[in-house]
Amino acid sequence: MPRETEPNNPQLGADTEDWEIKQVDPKREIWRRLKKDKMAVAGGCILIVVILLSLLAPFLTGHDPNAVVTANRLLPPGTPDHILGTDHLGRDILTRLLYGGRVSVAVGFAAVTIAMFFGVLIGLLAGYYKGFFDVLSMRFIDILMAFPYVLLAIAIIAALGPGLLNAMIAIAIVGIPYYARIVRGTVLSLREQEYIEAQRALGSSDLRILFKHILPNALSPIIVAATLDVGWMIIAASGMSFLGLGAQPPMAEWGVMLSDGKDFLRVAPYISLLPGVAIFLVVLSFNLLGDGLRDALDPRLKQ
Amino acid sequence: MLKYSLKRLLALIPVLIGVSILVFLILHLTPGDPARIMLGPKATEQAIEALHRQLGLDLPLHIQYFQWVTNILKGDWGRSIQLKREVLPLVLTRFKATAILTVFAAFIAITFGLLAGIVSATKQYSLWDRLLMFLALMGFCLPVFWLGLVLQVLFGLKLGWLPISGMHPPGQAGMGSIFRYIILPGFSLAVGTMAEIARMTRSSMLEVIRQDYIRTARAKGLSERVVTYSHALRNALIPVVTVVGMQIGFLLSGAVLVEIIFAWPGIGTLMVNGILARDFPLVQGAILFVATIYVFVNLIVDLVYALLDPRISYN
Amino acid sequence: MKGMKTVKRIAFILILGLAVLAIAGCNGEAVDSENTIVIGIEAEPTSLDPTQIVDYNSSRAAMEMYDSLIRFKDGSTDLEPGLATEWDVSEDGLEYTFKLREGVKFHDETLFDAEAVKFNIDRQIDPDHEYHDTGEFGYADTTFGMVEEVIVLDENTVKIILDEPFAPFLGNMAMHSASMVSPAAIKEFGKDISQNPVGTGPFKFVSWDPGQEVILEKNEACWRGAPQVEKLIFRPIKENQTRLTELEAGSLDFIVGIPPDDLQRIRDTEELLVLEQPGMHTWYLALNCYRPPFDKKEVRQAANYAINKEAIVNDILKGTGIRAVNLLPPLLWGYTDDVRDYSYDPDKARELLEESGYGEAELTIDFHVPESGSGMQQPVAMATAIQSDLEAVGFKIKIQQLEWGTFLDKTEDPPETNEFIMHELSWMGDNGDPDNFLYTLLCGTQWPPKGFNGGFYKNDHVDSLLLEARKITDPARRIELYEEAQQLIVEDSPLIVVDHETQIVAMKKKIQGFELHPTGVFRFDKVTIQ
Repeated sequence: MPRETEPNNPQLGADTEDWEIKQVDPKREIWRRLKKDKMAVAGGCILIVVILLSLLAPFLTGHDPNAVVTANRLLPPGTPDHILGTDHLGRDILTRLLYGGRVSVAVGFAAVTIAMFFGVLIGLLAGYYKGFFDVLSMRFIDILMAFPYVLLAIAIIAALGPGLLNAMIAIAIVGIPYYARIVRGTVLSLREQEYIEAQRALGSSDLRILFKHILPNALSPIIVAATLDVGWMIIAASGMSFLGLGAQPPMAEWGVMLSDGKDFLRVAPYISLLPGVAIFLVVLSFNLLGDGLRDALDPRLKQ
Repeated sequence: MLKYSLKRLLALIPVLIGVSILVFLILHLTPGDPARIMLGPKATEQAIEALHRQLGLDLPLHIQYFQWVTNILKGDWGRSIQLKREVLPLVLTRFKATAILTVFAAFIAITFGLLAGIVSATKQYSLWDRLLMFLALMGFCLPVFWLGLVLQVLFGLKLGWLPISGMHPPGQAGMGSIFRYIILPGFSLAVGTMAEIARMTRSSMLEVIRQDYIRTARAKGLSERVVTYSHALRNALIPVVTVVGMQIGFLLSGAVLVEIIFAWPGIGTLMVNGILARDFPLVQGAILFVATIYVFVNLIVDLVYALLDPRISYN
Repeated sequence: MKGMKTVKRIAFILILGLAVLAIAGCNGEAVDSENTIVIGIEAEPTSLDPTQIVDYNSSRAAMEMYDSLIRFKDGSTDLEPGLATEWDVSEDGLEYTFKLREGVKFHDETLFDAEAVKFNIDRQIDPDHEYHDTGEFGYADTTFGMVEEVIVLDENTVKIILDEPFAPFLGNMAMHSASMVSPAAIKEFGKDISQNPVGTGPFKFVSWDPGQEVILEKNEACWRGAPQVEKLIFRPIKENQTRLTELEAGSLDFIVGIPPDDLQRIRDTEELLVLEQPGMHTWYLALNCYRPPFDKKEVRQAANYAINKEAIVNDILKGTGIRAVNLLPPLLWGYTDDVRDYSYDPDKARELLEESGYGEAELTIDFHVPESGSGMQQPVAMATAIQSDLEAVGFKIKIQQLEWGTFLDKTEDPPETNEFIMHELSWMGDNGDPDNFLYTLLCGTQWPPKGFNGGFYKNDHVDSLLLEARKITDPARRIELYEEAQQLIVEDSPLIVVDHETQIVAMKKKIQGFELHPTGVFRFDKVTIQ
């Protein structure tokens, strides 16, 4: 029996209009399950704290992230006024971490949004219209997937030139195939379903069918994938910066900070280690949240 | 099976053509005159014109592409601007180092990932299970370049146990001398994949254990061990193989970062320096090479998968 | 039970495999380190053909394989006979006749003779030479730009005719780009000569494993006498910290580029020796005088006053350089510090900017910085400090980082297309003559792409002084001319000089008799190992 017809399938949850027979509001049900998942809650909390901290950075610290005070260089963590110490140019590390969080998290979200937008669009159209467009776009996706992930990003940066924006575009392109495939798969399995046929017979436009009836069914895997992906994109973007292909110094960005500290691993290891911890925490929380979302959206997968 | 393999092999041709077009376009998407960028500002107008003719830059794009591909197929991959060497031999030597590192990391990751996954699954909700899965979650989220630096500080700087740069002791080249040099970069690279394999093995085994035939096997009175290893593991391995295949891309990607940190003479270092130096023939050659290898590795993984899983029909 | 056995078997094989690797690893450790020096350098050499080398990193790995007609004495830039035993300069300073050393052989056993000298010079400067296209010769114009013709008088005598008198020419003949490469090898290898170097020097080429190491071994037949050291191994390690750790761990014997913050600890380490000696080096900012805002002298001076050079030298470089007041390094003859003093004075800088009349639009500039590079010390850290000093007085500075090779290429773009408004660079003297700094970097005739005057500075009075000084041979008169030129230049402030780097290398104490050379190349021919 196809899963789409199971009455309490949460995958159809967003499409409440057609499923009013359900007793429980599925959104509330998902939220309830998510709240019970302690790890996911922890992840969500860390995330909220990180985002709040970086947004409020100017109010939390009196320092300028780029102000060089050579006399204050390499102060260890715990120094009054520089709780996490200063780097090799006397810049306050806490301040740079906070401002760096803005860049890293924003790049992560932006890259995922771009990848998701194009991936979903390609997947929807390819799956729904099939034929030539499907073949063409799936070949293109195959070609993108023929490159190891970072390598494709590197190749794109080779053409566009190093820089934060280019690095973001590059990793976003790398993410497209994933979404395109998820969405296309769902569309292919749905487009022959009776209720879709029925909608078509009733004269609904393709656009309405695609966005009103098909897309909502692909939403939960997309949401889970996107949540997990933000973390990956943050690692990838800071990795590019670490290689000198992404954000450029003196920008306060976690990958740049990590790279800056390489020459001081002996005398001041915290310059490199702290931004690494920041990246780790954020990626971890996205993963916890993503795992929790997956379990909440589809409890049968949970072990 | 042979027919299936051939079919898959043929399906690679359009992909490889696509890959070569993308790689070819790297040069042409770059703003500015590629010849001028390659030759540098000291180049005379004649030299630039000569290179234009040599690379056929004044020809229509599709003819240029055709020439380029013909040269690639003939083994003429051009000359690195920065290192003043033939690209193909350079790429081959440097890729060998990357391959050694990647295979070693995959070996570690599979060995320990499987072990951890099996232990976790058979002792579900035990302290071991929780500890291992916690570690796996951590390993999964660690940026590889950060882990590399931490291992360097710990084992190189603080403890002084292991070398932290290069692939061989100075002046040596044999495979035997690699071992001490590969441990730190290999482990840094392996951790993420190891974590992913452990998580996948665990969940895949747990799923299999709940299946009917396992219950039947237990009911038949077979010992728990036999059930676990003989029946459950084999079937649980199928999705794990897919994960391993997918992880090869992550390993090759991570290798780029690890190589830079540990001065490993692989293709990643070569590529990044090439991009920063705008050394197009080198960058194109290196990317084309790695992508081609990757396409074939993926094919092999798919074939192994088909062999393992009786449910896949070859036709 | 079959499954169980399989798992056990696999585990057994895995463990066995690891054990074999471990044992093999241990066996591999037997390095014949007795008479070998392993040197950690900053990057992969770009070429081992001396005529194509444009950076110190490559020349450090290559130069022990070569000789030139004249050589610098150990420890100084005084000249002594090399492959030429004696030479003679004509009255008008236009003809140089060299008598060559007889019986010297290249590493490939071919004979060094007058034809080889002609071949090496013509290959670099004559576009019609059959082997001109076997390389790109970045130093050809600096070294031989004044050469009109090379004439072979007999097998061991060669005459070089200049198109104008050029006082430092003998010094040029000792530069790396004047090294003698085997013509037979160039004919054999063509473009690949840069990986198959053949010279006459005390060490000869063994192998170059890209990304891994360059290996040289001693040349028993060297005309200067065979060196004591059997082997030199150069390992490219990009990260300063990694290189240092490898020295301390014992896998390297000799390193360059010690992070300043670690220097004191290394000095205090019993088994290690640190050598420090001021070199012929100047680290400077080049300001593009061809375009706004640095086309105005006030703005250039303002920038000069705004930068706290003292703080950079003390806090970032930790005293690994000395504060510069002049482009010439103090150890060079002709140096004067009787020039305008640009000590840190932000108020004066603001005043000068006010006077210039330029507003925020003009004062918003890109600052081009290499991510690393030989002689660049800490390019990014220093640039960041400079950026914040300049912004404090009203500039708006955006740092653009480039890879070293690309960066160097871009400094050589002609004025119309040169995108560098301000960039940092360093210069290390080649031939021990003030001309090599002042004329090369600041004469109005030396704008890129012809020369290295990357700031497009032009002052007619300065030009006439520099051009006269390179034509006459009277040292006292030349000093007068150079002193006057320096005062004019510093007043104009086309460059902001920050420091002269101290050459620092660290090595194991087992290496004895190593001396630093002011030109920055390494000489291992007289070194012994304890």
